[in-house]
Amino acid sequence: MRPAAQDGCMPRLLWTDDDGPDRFLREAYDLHRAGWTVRWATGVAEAAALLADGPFDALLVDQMLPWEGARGAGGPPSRPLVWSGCALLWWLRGLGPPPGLPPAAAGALGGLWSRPPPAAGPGLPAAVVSAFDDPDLRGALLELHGVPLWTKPVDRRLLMDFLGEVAARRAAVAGGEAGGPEGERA
Amino acid sequence: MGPVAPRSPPAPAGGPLQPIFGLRGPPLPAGATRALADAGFTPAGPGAVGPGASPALIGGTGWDEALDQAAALPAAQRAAALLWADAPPSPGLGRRCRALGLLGWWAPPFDPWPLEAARWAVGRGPSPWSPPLSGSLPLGLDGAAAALGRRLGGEGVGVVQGSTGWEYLDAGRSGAALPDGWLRAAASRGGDLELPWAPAAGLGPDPGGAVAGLVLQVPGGARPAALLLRFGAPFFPTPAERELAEAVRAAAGAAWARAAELERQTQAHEAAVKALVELPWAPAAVGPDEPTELDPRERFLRETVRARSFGSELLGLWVRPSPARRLPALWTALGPAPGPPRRAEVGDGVEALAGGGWTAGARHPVDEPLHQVRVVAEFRSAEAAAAGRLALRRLAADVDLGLGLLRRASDTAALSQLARLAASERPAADIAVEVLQLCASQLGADGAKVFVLAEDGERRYLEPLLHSGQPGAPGRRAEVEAERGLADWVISYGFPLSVEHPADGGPARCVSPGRPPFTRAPRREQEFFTEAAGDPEKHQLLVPLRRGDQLLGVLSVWRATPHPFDPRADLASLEGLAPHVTAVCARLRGRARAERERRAIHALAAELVPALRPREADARAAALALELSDAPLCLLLRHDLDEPGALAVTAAAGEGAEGHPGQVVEWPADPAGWEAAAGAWLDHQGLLLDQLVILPGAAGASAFGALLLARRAGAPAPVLLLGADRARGAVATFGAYAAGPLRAHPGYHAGHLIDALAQGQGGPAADDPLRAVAAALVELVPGAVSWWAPVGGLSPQVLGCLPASAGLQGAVVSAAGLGPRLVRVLDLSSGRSKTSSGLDVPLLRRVASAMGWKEARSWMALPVAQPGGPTYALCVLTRAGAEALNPGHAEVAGRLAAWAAAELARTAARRRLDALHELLARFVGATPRVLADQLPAAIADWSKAHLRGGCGVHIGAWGPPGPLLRAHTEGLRPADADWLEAESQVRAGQPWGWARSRGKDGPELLKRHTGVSAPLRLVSAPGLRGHLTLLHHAPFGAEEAAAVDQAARELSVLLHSELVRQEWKLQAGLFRHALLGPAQGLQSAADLVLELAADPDRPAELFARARRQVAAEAEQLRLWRDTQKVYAALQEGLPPEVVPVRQPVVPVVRACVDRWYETFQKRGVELRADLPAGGVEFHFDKQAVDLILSNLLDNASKYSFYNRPVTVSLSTDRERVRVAVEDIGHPIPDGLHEQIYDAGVRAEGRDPIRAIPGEGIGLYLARALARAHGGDLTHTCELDGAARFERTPYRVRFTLSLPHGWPRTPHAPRGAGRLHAPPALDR
Repeated sequence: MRPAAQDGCMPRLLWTDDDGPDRFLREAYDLHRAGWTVRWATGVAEAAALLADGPFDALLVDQMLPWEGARGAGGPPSRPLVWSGCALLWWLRGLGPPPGLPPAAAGALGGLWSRPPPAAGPGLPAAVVSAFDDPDLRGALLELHGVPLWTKPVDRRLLMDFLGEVAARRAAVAGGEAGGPEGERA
Repeated sequence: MGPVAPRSPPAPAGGPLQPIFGLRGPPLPAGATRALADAGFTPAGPGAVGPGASPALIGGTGWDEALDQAAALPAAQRAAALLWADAPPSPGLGRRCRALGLLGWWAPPFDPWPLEAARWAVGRGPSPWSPPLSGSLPLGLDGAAAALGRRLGGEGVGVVQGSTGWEYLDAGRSGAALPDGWLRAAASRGGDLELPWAPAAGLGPDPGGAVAGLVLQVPGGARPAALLLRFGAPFFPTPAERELAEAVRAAAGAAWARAAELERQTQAHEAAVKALVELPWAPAAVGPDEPTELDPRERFLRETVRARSFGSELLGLWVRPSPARRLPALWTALGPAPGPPRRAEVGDGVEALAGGGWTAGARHPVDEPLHQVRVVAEFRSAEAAAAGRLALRRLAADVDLGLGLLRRASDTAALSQLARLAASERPAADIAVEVLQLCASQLGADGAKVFVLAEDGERRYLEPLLHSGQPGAPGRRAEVEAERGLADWVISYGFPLSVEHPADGGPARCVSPGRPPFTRAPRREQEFFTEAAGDPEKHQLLVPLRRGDQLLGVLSVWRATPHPFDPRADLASLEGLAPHVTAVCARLRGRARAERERRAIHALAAELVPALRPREADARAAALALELSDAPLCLLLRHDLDEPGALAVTAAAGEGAEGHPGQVVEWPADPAGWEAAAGAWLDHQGLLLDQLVILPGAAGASAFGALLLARRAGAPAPVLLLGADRARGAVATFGAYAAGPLRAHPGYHAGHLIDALAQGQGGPAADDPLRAVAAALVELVPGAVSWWAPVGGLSPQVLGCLPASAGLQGAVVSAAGLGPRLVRVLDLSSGRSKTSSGLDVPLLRRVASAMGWKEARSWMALPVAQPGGPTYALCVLTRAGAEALNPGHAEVAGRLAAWAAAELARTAARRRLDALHELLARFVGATPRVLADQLPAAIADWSKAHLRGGCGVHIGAWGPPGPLLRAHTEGLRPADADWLEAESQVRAGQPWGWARSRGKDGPELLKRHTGVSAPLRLVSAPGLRGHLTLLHHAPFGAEEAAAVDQAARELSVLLHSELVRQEWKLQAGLFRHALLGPAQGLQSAADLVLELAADPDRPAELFARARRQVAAEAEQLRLWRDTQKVYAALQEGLPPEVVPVRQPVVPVVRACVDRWYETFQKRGVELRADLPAGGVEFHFDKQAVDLILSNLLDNASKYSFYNRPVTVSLSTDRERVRVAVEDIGHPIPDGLHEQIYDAGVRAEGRDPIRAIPGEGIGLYLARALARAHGGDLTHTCELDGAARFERTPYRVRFTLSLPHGWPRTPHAPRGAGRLHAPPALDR
C-alpha cells in the first residue's frame, strides 16, 4: 500500500507528541514502509511553525503538549497543557479558541492565534493520539468533525487505515490533476 | 477550716485590723477570703474566742454540718461566732442560728456586713482609747440595708431620724429625696411598714419611683433608725425572705446600739483630748481659789502637776507637741509667775520662755524631749529642778501618751471619714482624691499618692495612680526594679519605709523598722509628680497596700517641711490607714463596676424589651439569668392570663431547657406556698430547686413572675451561685421593663397577638401572615374590616382578606391613595379627613358601601414594604357606630404589619434560597463552557424573580492554579469585565459595591451602573476566590446585598465542586499518561523487535534501538509500579519496609545512571557519574536505593537547564555513605525547602490545566525510603553564576545519606510497602 509519490514527493505526515518517535518505533517503521515521510514535533509552537512552513498531507497530534518542545531554548521542556492538541487543531481549522478552554489554558496558548493558520489547514486530515481522555476535550473535538481520537497504545490498524485513506485521496487528487478531464473521462 | 497563712507583716496590736478565727470546717472560698480582707480582718491562728475577743467563723460543707460544729462549742464561743457555708442559706437558718446563740450566718456572696456586725457584736471592751472603728458605724447599717435590698431584689438604705425629720445615714445621699410619707406611715404604725404595693395602700410611689417598700425599725440606738427598702415593682416577700429581713434587722440593731454607745464614748474622749491641746491657755493659780469649772486641758495639767507633787517650786510648764503634728503648744504657769510667755509661737529651746515674767535660763529649766512632745519646766531652784526632773519626765510621758491617744482618736475619726467617703455617691475619682487628702491630713503631710502594681505577663510595673492634689494618674509607669527607687523597694520587699531626702539631692536616707538604715536613689521620673517643682518632698513615708497576701501597691505621704515623720507613730498611723485605703479603693471599684453593670442592664432592657415580643424578652431574660447566675437551668415563669392560679413557663435556658416552655405550674395565691409549689413542680419534672426568685410586675398583684434556678435531680449542687443576686437584679429589671411600660403599651397586645400568630393560633389563615394579621385586627377591633392591598396593584389576596360580599368585587380597584406616607388614623365622621390626608375618601365610601355599611366611621392604612417584593397597605375600616380607631389601634396594627412584613421577607428569603439551590443544582457537573455560557444568565433570571429585573451579572472566579471561571451576561463590555476582575482581585474576600458616578473619570461602568459584589469563598476551599457581581442602574439595598452574598456562598460550593472535578480529571489524566506512555512505547518497540527478528535482512541499528527501547520502557513501568506501591503504603500510614543486605553500592548507582543516560541525552543534558573505583559495601535495600536515585534523577531531568551537566557522585566516611545528585537549573523556591518533601507538593505548585507528568510524590517517597534505612535525604540550593537567557541558574544538590550499620529498630510492620523479598542468601 505504498502511496504513489506526488510531484516527486512522498506523502508527508506531521506527528506531534512530546514523547518523540521512540515510543512509536513500530508505527514509524510501518509508515516508512508505506511511503510516508514523518516529521516529528514535540511542542505546540514547533508544530504550528512546521504547519505554516510546509505542506503536509496529515497531522497526528497528542492532547498533552508543551508550548515549547523538548528542546526548547536553554532549559527543560515547558509544561504540557492538556488542551494543547485540541487548541492546535482549532487554530489549524481557522477557528478561535475551543469552547470550554479554561481561562488559564487560554492565557498559555494565546500565542497560537497571534499567527495565521496555514491555508490548507481547514482541510488537513488530522487525528488525535493521546493517553489523556476527557469529556470536555472530546466534546470540543467533536465540533471539528472528522477528527478521530485514539488512545494510547494506538491501534496500528486504525492508524494505517486512516492514513491509507488519506494517501488514496491524495493519489486520486493527484491523478485527476495529472490526467485532466480526459483522464477522468478515461 | 484549714489554716490560713498569717499576713506579713502582722497587723499592729490594737490597731484597726482584727484577727478572725476559723475553728473548723473546710477552707474558706476565695470570695469569703476577699471579703475578710476587705473588712479589715486578718486570719489568725487558733486561740481563745469569746466576748471581748475576736469573732470566729464556724463552717462546714453544708449548713447542717456547720450547725453541728457550732452546737459542739461552748455558748460563750458561739456568742462570738458566725456560721458559714459555701451554699445558699437554707430555710430557717436564721432561726436555728439564733437558737444556738450564734451571731448569725455568712453565705455566698459573702457580703461584708455580717462581719462588721460581728465586729460590733463581739466588741473589744469599753476602753475609750481603743475604740473599734467607728467608721464602720454608718457603713454597717447602710451596708446591711444595701445587702438586704440586693437579696430581696430592691434597693436598701439606712435612715435615721434627725432634728428636722428622717434623713439618710450617709450624708452623701442627702441630695436624694426620702419617701417621707412611707416613713411617717411606718412611724405611725409603730416602726415597721410592709408596703407590697404602694398605690394600693394609697401612699403612691416614692420620689425615686419605687412602688413598693419595706421599713424595718432598727432598735437600740440613740436615735431612731430604720432600714428602708424600696422596690421598683410590687414586692411580696416569702417567709424565708421575711426571716432573712428579721435576721438582718437584729444584727443591724445590735450593731447600731453598740455603735451609738461607742460613738458617744469616742466623741466624749475626743472632745477631752482636743481640749487638752487646743483650748486657749488661761493662766490660773493653783490654790484654794481654783475655779470650779476648768476646761479639760487645764484640769489635766493641774491634776497631773498635783499628782507629781511639784509643789510650789514649779513655776511653769511649756508643752510643745512635735512640730510635725501641727498642734498648738501648751503653756501653764503654776507659781507666782507674772503671766504667760510673751510669744505664743516659739521655736525650739528654753530661751523661748523669756518674756512675760519668764526668765530664760535663770530659773533652772528642765527639758524633756520625747517623740511627740517636748516638756520644759522652770523651777525656782536647782535643787527643785533636780528633784523634779523625774516627775517631769513622767509628766512628759503622760503627755506623750495623751497625744498618742489623741492620735488614735484622730485616726479613728479619719477611718470613719474614709467609710463615709466610700459610701458616698460622688464620682469615684473625687472620692479617691479625698481619701488621699484625708490620709495626708492625718499624718500632717503635704500630700499623698498611691502607686499600683501592674502586671503584664512576667513583667511588673510601677504605676502612679492617684495623687492627693488631683484625680488621675500623673507620671508614667515603669517596670519595677528591685534595686532602684523607693516605691520599687517597698513593692519588692513588702516593708514600710521612712525616707529623708537630703537638700543636695543626693540619695535618700531610708529607714525600715527593724532594719539598718540605708541610702537609695529614688526614681524621680516615676516617683515625683510633675507639679512638685523643686522636689518639695523632703520626707516620705511609704507603706505597702495589700489585700490578703497580695501586694497591690504603695501608699506614700510626704512633707515639704523639714520636720521628719515619726518612724514609730506616723508609720503606725499610715499602716493603719493603708488597708482601709485599699478597701475603700476596692469598694469604689466594685461600686463602679456594679453601677456599670446596672446601667448596661437597664440600657439593654430599655433597648430590647420594647422592640421584642414578650416571649422573646423572656427568652433573653432567661438567657441573661443563666449567664449571670451560673445555674445549670433557669426557668422563667409568668402569670398565665388564661389560667388564674397558675404560672406558665415562658422561657427556659440551660441544660434540658427545650421541653419546659409552655408548661403550666399551679401557683397558690398565698405567697407562703410559692416556694413549696415551685419545689413540688420541679420535683415532678425530675429537677431540684436551687433558688426561687419572685419577679415583680407592674400591673397589680397578679402580674408577677418567678425565676427558678434549678438543676437535675441527682446532679451535684452548684458550687457557688455567685451571680444569683446579679441574675435576680437583671431579670427583675428585664421583668419590670417587660411587664411595666410594655404591658401598658398597645405593643404589649400586639406582642401577644403576634405570639399567637407565630404559634399558628391564628386560625386557618395562620400560614399566610397577611391574611392572619387582617383576621387578628378584625377580632381586635369590633365592627372593623381589614384587608391588605398591594400598592399599585390588586391581587386575589386582597379580596380573600375581605368578608364575602358580592358588591365588593372590583370595588378596591385602585390603591392610588395608599402611598407610603399614609400612616395615620382618620375619624371619617369628624370631617377632617379631607384636609388631613391624601386618602381616597370616595374609595373608602365605596368599600363601606360594598360591605353593606351605609357609612364608615374611621379609617387607617399602613404601608408595609418588603425588600424585593411588592409594597402592601394594611387597611382597616370601622363602621359607623363602632369603636373609632385610635392611635392605640394604629400602634397594634403597625406592629402586626411589621411582623407580617418580616414573615413575608423570611418566606421570600426562603423561596429565594430554594430557587438558588435549584438553579445551581442544574449546573453541578456542567462543563466550564456550559458554566460560562449559561450560569450568568441563569443568575440574572433568578435575580429577576427574587430581587429585581434587568440585572447584569458578572462572575470572576480563581482557583489555586489560576482563572477558573470568567463569565458575564450579555451587554457587559470586555473593558468593564476586566475592570471588575481587577477590582475583585484587589478586594479579595471582601464584599463591595458602588453607586453610580457622575464624574468624568473612572471606568465607564461606574457611570452607567451601580453594583453590588459579594466574594466567592468557602472555608473548605481556601484557594477558591472571586466575586459575584450584580449590576443595575438603580442602587441596591442592604437586603439585596445580603441576598447576593448568600448567592455567592452557594455559588462557591458549585465552583468548588468544579475545582474538585478538574483536579480529579487531572489526576486521572496523569495516571493514564504515566501508565499508557510507557505501555505505548513498550508495545510499539516489542512489535518491531518481533517483526525484525523474523527478517534476516533487518536493519541492525533499528533492531538494536528497538531492543533498547523495550528495556527502557519496561524499566519505566517497573519504576511506576514500585512508586505506586510504596506511595500506597505510605498513604495507608505504613512506612515502607526495606530489607537491607550488605552489598556493594557502586554497581547499583552505576546501573541506575546507565538506565537514565539516554533519557538525559534526549533532553540535551549530560549525565555524569563520579563514582569511586573501589568497592563500597554496606547494608542497604537495593531496590529502595534504586527507587530513590531514580526519583532524584527524574527530578534533575525536569528541572536542570539545557546543556548543563547533572552529576551523580558517591562519597563515604566512617559512619555514612552519601550519594549526591547535583543539577544546575531552576531553584527550589523560598519557603518550600521543607515542603517539597511532603506528598503532593511541587516546586511549581499543582496545576490542573498546565500539568506536567509527575504527582509531587518523588521526593516524598525518596525521603521516606531514606529514613526507613535510618538515613536521610537533604538538599542544598545555591546561586550558580549569572543569569542566562533570563534565567538564573542554581546549583541544586540532593544528598542521600545512609548509615554503614543497619539500625536495629524496625521501621515498619512486615509486608507494608515491601519492594522485594529479601535474598535468601543474606538471611
